[in-house]
Amino acid sequence: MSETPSIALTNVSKWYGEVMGLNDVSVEFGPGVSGLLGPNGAGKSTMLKVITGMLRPNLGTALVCGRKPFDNPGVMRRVGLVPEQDAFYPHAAILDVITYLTRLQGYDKAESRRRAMNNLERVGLGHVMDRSAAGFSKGMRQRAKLAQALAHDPDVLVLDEPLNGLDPTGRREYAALIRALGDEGKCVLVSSHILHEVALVARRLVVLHNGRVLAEGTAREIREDLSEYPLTVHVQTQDGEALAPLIVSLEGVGRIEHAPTGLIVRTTQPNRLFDEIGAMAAEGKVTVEALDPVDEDLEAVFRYLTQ
Amino acid sequence: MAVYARGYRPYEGSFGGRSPVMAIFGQGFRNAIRTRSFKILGVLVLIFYVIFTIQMYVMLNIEEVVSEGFSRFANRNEPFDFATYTTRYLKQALMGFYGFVATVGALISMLAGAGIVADDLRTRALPLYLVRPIRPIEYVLGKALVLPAVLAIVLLSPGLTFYLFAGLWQPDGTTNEWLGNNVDILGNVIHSYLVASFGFTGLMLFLSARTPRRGTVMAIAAAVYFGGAMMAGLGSELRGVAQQALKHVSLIVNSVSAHVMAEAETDRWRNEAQMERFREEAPSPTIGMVVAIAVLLIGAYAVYRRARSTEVSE
Amino acid sequence: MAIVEIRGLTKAYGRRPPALRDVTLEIHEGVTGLLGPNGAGKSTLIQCVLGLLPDFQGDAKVLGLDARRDRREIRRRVGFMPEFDAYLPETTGIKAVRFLGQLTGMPYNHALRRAHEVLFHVGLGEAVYRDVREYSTGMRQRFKLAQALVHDPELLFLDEPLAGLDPKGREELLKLIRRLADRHGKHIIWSSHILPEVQKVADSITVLKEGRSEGTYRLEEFAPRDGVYSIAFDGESPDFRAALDAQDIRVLATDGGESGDAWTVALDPELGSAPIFQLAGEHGVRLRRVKPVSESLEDVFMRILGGHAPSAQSAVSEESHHFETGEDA
Repeated sequence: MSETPSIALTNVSKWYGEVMGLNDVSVEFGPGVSGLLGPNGAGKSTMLKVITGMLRPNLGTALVCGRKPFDNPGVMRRVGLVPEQDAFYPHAAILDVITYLTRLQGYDKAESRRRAMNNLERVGLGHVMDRSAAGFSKGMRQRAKLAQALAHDPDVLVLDEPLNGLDPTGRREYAALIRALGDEGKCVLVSSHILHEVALVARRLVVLHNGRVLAEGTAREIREDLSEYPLTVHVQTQDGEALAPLIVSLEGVGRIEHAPTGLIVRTTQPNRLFDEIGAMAAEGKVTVEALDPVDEDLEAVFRYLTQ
Repeated sequence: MAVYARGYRPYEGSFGGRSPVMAIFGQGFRNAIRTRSFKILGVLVLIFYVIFTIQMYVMLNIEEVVSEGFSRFANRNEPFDFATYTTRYLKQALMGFYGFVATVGALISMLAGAGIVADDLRTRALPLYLVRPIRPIEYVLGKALVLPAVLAIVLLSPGLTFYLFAGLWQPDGTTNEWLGNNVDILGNVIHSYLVASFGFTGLMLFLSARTPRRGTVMAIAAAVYFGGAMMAGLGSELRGVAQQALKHVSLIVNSVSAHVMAEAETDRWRNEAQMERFREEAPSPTIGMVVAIAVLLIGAYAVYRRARSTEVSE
Repeated sequence: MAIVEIRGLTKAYGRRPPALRDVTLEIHEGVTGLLGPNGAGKSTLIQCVLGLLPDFQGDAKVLGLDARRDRREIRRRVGFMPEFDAYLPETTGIKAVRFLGQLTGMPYNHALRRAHEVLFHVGLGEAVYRDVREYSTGMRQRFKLAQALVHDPELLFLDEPLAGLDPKGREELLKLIRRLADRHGKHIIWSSHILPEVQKVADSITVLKEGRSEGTYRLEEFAPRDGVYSIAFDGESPDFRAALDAQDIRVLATDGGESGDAWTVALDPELGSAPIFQLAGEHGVRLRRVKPVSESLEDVFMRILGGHAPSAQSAVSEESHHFETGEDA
């Protein structure tokens, strides 16, 4: 078994009857936090199920830590899952439930209990671990799911909408915890619809659409590859009249609009534009108050990719 | 030429529609008669109904059969005519019919009525009602009317038509007279329907308001219906207070008690002692009605408690 | 005019500590974000605004109606979209919405016509004739909005209205709801934990914490912080950082890590952004973004929760705003 925490899908296809779930997907995830994005029905859940061994691909191979996850308890011992739905046995204390689930991973009773306690503390449920999940708020259940996923110290963590139901403070803490897990060297895969939160925890992104991988990389890398969508840069300056003629002839610059606050420039070669404006501002030829690429964020990237 | 406003438009109609009770009732009624169990059991009742109607036609219209019937239903020392014969025959037929159909009615109320409030709990629709300008009592009324309407189809309408057929098949010119003289049969049919619909409705409302799971509701209702009937049967073997109490615990038995008593009155039993015994064992229609109303009130209150909740968010 | 006006509202359930204690707040026209941690008393406030709370201490007015006396009339004029999945058992979209219209007093024919109109407006298309149970999460969310809109309410109460939607669905529905406020004069209370979306859609926010009101604030007053910039750059960061430090330009945060994706820097407001460009030029760093930072709603919210109300510069409180300090327990 490979020592590095990793997930590797090679030409994986999965369909249900005639409905396509994943279509020839090849993608790898290594240590650190990765974000999995895509519209509803893009195939994200199918991918998570293939990775966590709940589904066997119709074509291709899925490897988790170098081995096939389907129906393979040995691999699943190294995988922790936070599912979107929750199903905690409602009549027992959360500590007992997690202790029990951890014992199923092969630890003895005392060790399971210790691990369950430590992880409940870690997710901030130390004060309620003798209560049943039935009375928990959504945010608390979300935390409990993470504690359960972490209790057997997995190398690979799969989190489906992990911040669902948490309040703003909880979201902050939980996001920090996810980042910390990535920094520890675990392979963490976060699937979510809330783009700014994915951007907060994950640098590397994989975008699925209609069962296929549409893009992978950091938001910026993906944005740079989308050359058919020129970057729109808002240059805030009083010297718009003077600046416009100087940049209009730059390679890649398309339309330039004059706005009351400065110029709105569209360019397919943003680096040339940034260099030129940076140089002029540094030399004091023009005063630039602000430089703002308005459609470079993850939301714009996602919009361009999936439209 | 004109370009009209696109997108959202304000509502300019009235808010003076019918009472929400009727809307809630209509919704519940449609859902109940759409269930497969209602359709299957409804067909069963229909078949039974057709058989009874044919039998009744034969008994009242074919001469040889009528004369044989006279000897079966007449007492030795009394003047006997066709009208009396019809009355006695009909009372006996109704008891046979309701003895069976009351159980089917219980099954229908159990299967089609289990979701009456439970479905709203299961799909969390209750908050959708609560945030509308309706009173809890309107919700209760709307829901409470559903089963009586369903049971009117299987329990009330057959009895009514049997009564009318009997009148129509009297000799020319005596139809109204027969109907007028036998209005107590109509009374028994209605009484029996009311006891059944009050009792069944009350029980289903009570159980349905307790749990979102239809299956649980059905299972408990079945235990109550058939357990109650068994206990009532046990009651006939006993005497005294225990008998009085036991013979009224069954909603099904109570709902046919009016017919049982009516038939006892038709002095078909020539043996006075036998008749006395029969009267003693049969549950009293009055107590049956009291039991049914009590069950209805308990059920309605359980729904009212639910409808008074204000939990519309988590 | 205040849409919701609450004075001294206290509500306790049984012997538990009160869900709301002496809450005084006003919610004004437009879109208002209702914020607060779990257990802050938002549910109780929802019940009050919907005219569902029969007994409480204090005074509450919704759309000028008394929340104790005119509870039915309030519910006729307020629409509610619950957070959880709620639908009528076994029925099509059109029938369910029509039925809810009827419950609000609309005659059958009007309710049916109106149901088509609102379901079309929220973008359900042909799916209106399908069974609600077959709807996807996104469709259900739109369907729930149609339920809330069927009786053309003046005030809409939306509880996590974008829950479960994908990014495109979120953007569409957010715009649709914003348009209801802008073009059709609907007042909207938007309860959510997802603060960046609240910041996008809301005109003001109302904050609850532990059953108390922490005030109502207008978002337009969250002005940029003078001299604070968010910058992104390509190039070697240690030198650049040292140069920034030497010029007394403080690096407040390096959210994107050391790679320079999202640093927050502060310098003397008098100087503008010029020194940043100058230093970047000197150190061969390519600036990709230099943007004055407004305080994010998240920052403001965290400060309010921490007991520090926003400063006059970043957010100005309304008259209803009052502070409760030292009693957090």
